[in-house]
Amino acid sequence: MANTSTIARDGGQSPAPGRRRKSPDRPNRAGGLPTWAVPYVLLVPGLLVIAGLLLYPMVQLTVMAFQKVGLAQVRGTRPAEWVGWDNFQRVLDNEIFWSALRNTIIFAAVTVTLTLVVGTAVGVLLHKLSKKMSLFVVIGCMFAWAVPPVAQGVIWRWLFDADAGAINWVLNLLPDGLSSLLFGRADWTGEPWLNDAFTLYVVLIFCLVWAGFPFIAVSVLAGLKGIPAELYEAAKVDGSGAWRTFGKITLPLLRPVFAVLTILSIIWDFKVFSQLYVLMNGPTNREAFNLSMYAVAEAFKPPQKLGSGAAISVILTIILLIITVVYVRQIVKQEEMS
Amino acid sequence: MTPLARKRLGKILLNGAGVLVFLYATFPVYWMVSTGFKANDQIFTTDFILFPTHFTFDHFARVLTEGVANNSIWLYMRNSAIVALGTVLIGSTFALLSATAIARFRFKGRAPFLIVLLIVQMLPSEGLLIPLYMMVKRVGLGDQLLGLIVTQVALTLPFGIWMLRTFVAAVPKTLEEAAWIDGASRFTTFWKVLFPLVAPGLVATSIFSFITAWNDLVFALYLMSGSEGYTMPVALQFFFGQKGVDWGAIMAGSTLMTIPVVIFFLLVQRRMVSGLVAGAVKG
Amino acid sequence: MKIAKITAATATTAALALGLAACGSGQPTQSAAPAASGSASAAASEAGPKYAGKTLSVWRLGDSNPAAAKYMEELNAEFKKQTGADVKLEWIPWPQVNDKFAAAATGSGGPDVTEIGNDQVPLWQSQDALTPVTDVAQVGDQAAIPKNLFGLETIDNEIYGVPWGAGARAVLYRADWFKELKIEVPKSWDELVAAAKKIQKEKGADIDGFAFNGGSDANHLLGALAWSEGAEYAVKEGDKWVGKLTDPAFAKGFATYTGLVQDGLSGKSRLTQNTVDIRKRFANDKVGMYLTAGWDLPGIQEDSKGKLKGDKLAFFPLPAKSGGEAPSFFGGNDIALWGSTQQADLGKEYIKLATSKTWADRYAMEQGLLPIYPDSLAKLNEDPAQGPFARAFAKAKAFPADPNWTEANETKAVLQNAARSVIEGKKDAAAALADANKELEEILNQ
Repeated sequence: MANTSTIARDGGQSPAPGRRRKSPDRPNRAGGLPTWAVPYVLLVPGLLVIAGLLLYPMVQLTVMAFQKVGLAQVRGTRPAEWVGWDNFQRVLDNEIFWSALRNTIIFAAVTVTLTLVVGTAVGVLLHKLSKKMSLFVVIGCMFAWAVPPVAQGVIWRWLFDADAGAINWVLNLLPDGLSSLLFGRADWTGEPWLNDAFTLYVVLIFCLVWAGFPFIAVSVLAGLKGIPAELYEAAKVDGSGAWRTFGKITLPLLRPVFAVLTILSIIWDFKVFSQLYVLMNGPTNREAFNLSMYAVAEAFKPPQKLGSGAAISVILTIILLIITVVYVRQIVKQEEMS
Repeated sequence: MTPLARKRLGKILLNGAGVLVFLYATFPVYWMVSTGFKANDQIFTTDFILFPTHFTFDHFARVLTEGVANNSIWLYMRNSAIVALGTVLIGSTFALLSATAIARFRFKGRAPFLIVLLIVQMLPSEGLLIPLYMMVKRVGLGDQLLGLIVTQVALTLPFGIWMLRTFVAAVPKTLEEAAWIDGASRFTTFWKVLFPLVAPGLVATSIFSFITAWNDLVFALYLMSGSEGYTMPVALQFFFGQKGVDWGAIMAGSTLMTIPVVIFFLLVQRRMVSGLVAGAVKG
Repeated sequence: MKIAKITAATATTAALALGLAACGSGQPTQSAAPAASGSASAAASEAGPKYAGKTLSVWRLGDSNPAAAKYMEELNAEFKKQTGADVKLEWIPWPQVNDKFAAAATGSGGPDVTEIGNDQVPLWQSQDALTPVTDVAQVGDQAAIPKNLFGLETIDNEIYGVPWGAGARAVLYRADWFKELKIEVPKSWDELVAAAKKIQKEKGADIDGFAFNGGSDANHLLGALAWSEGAEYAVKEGDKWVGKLTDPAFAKGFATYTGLVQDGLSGKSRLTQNTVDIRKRFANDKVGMYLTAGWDLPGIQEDSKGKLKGDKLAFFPLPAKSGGEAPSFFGGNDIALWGSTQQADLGKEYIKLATSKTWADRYAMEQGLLPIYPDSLAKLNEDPAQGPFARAFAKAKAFPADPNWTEANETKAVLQNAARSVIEGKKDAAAALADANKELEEILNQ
């Protein structure tokens, strides 16, 4: 740490975008590093971690996807066998993969949309509430936000429990006529939500929207606070209605915020694992697998097939990287603007 | 309706909506805690029991004294704490160094580094699990918490750097320049000027890392060789399998696991919001 | 002791079944056993001082209940007396077993000796995780263990585990309810269905008259029902497995199995519960009958806060739909030498002692399993409590003996998924079984 400097700057040549301000170069103080070297020294630990524990494993993952890797290979007593595209072929031939892919995409689409809608609505509400009331609601939201994913799964699995769950009790409270009209049935006693892949995902969506909306809400709130009040005053003077103001002022100004929130949500919901693991009690109901769960089940459930698991992970990673490119472009654009 | 009455009605509606949101957010948490205090006859019932009238500490006592999977719950708590704090300590130090480099210096390779940072931040951790599992087992860290800490540092570092760099950049350079002119060394400038000003950001980053490591299920589950190395999220799974589903104990255990995170969130509620939003949203 | 991993069976068990049935006549066939036992321990004590100061690491599977803990204490004391070595005992809860084994197989923290479900032996042998114990299995007391009990353990002419206790299942029922509702113990499948319906009518519709098992150990129930029709899961032809799930016999058993839910004997909400979940509901007065074994009794007593015990519970053999008693799966626990052990000789001494007649019989009898020594097993036929198991075991049948069976049975849950899709009306039984058959063949032949 002794060598770290925070003020030596402008190592010079780089055309990197960003801070416009240029300060005059200062002679290097005796005993320190040459100024140009300081940032590189500072970066060493971070670079080592990123290269050694993130980039190299990704290379390793890709290699493993073309190998047959069992426990003996992990132990190192037998060499890994090169199998070409076999792993991919077997995975793509399996209907579990396609149902997992479908589950992953549909779940992410629905959850992201719902989380954004609920989160934005709450964010706007928070903005309109008095300061005290707003804080009260934010603190409430903090509870939902703070619950660890495993506990989220536990809570919703319990709420939707077939025999003793609160949800079935509530549904039974509905007037029979209304219940039949909405769902085609009146009696919900013992309704097994977690048996079937479809209803399991309904529960998972409830769980993730509940856990995810607070982040969206406070982000939107922060964004709203950044919009100058004069704009709204002006809109009011023009006689613009609430919806119109929202559409004409709020949304466009928050567009960058939404773009990032959307992509982050997609990426988070795409690889949801802990909650699903709890809701289906480990990798059991294969029709309800998503890609993460399928990869883990292939790789770690006996007999361990790390190669097949790696192949699925590679596919998942490629899909996420495509989404990431969109994200990176958005960030870079903002970076240039700011 | 007079404008005044309308305004009042609007306010009531707004506050009503606020209360509803509050209930929506907190009820499931309340339900978890209250189930943990219900006697079994009020847990396994088709009726809805809002308040545990057959109030009991049994489940908490059982979880805290008997533990699960051959170990006391305190061992899992301790493991979780060690992993989370270790991750925070190492991760934040590394993140601060890198963030300072990015925010305070122009250097060759800065832009590519930023892009790489953004990309690795998005890598799915479940994808990294398989190769990291290989690496950790190969180097013999499979039964040590250090193996877990190392992976968690890797997973949280990119986002940590990204988040911290906005805080570093927000500190006016004039302050450092003044110190520099006064003849302070690089280290003194860093320690006396920059560090205190970046501290709030460091807190936000640390909490993010802490929570990520504290919440992790999949790495602890597969990287650790046995129950001695398991963390709370893994330990909770055993309440589901070992003797059938023991809901009272699960709820008690989940509550115990949630408490530290909630305390953190409430303590640093403002900073959490500004930190995350600044880090994640403003880029 | 518990479920799941005590599955198993081999292709050779039909022969075994006959052998045991023959023993059922009550003739003690192994008069030489006590003498052999004596000489084995004498030989062991000579080895005594040799291992003084050493410590052997031993894994037992499941929860340590008082009876099991006492047994291990005494066994380890005897081992110390004979060899001078200490034993470090660790109990591995069932849900952790696979992960623990996997972790140990990747290099660190493995035991010297472990208990292991007999159907798991091929799997872990294929991962190089076990050391052969052929020499232990063929001499002394152990020579009296029927050869066909080594079906799963013998791989390429080496034996990778010695049977410790055998498992069979029978129907556990609420004897108090039967008495109260004046139900006779069912002798046929129809009587069983009638009894289940009566229980549901009198005790509440949310009760499972006869509990459907669709979880990790579902094949114990499905297997029993299918085998009783004369069906097989798969047969090895040459070096390839050929699935038999589409045979009419299997389809019949499968229909009986899914019928448990379709006819309402068991709730639709519990398609994925395994024996542990059922046991919990049984203890909470929500189940009338289910297929299990004696090792569930201590847990039921505990979960019901002492209410369900003694003569409130009893077993009867599962009746086959086609008449007679249904075969049980052929299960059991072995004791094996771990692959990475540095103390193979000492480990073998331990296995020798634990599977000697005295200790193996105690192991089985005190923990709800069946003894592996034929004369001890034969005695049980007369026993009212153990009779149903001994008789079921006499007809024991096998799941395919292949390292990949675990994948089909648990990881991919092939048959469980087929049953679920039929019960939920997504596929008809023929289509579901055809798909399952194809998948089973793929898994077994990979």
